[in-house]
Amino acid sequence: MNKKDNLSKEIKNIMEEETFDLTLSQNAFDNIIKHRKKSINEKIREFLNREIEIPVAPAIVGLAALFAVTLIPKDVFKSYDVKVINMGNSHVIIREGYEVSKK
Amino acid sequence: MVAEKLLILNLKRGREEAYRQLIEEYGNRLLRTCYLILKDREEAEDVVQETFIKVFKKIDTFKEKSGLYTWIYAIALNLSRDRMRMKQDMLELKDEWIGNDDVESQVEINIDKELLRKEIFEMNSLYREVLVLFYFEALSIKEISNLLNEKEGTIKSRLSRGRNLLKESLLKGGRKNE
Repeated sequence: MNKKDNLSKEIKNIMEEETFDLTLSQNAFDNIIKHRKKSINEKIREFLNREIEIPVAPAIVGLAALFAVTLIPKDVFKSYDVKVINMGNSHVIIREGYEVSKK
Repeated sequence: MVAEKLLILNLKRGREEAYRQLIEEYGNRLLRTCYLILKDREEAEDVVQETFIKVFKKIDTFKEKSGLYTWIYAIALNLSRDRMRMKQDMLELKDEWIGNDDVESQVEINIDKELLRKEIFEMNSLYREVLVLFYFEALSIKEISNLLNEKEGTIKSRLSRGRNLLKESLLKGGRKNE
């Protein structure tokens, strides 16, 4: 197929004239870049830099619950019915409840 | 070739500068070709965006059996064809091989450039697509056939018929050479 005849030359010229000032807009360029595949480093950096919103009220409630579970002794609310019988120099302690120790 | 291999490697690694290089190198060229095929600047830009996004997603599956640009091109052409089908701009054609592919040798004419411009943009996009790839992109029949996944004879036939259509229009509207 001939590319050097008049018709071919004119077709090529017209196509070049129609498109010579056509360039990809910055908007399109940015949009394409936004969709690119990210490297592992970038993914990690993005994860670490990400902003998170924590609602204050549930956060305080959660922290208080955590504090209660970890710092307050577990038997602090237990009330034992204890009887002490003095027998001379020694005394006998009688509790109503008992616990089986976990081993 | 080495530069292209390096570019592909960096694309697979997700390096931003490689992505920028790819768009800077091929973006405008692709936009121009898509514009000539689709006749619409905005649509052409959409196709280019979609093409690059697809390329970024599929870069890991690129086996390097063809050149990078050929691969990108094939994606862009498929997307352009999808758009043309949606617009029903691309009519199904029965390709017939026309023996004489040099229509210019039959009748010499003075070419009315404006008429030719109009005819190029008004002709069926199936013909225009092949004309764009052959004349504007300067691809060979074989390269076009690989790109469009069609037989070489089919491409030759489309090219010849496209030229004939233009020629006929010019003969009707143009002036015969004295």
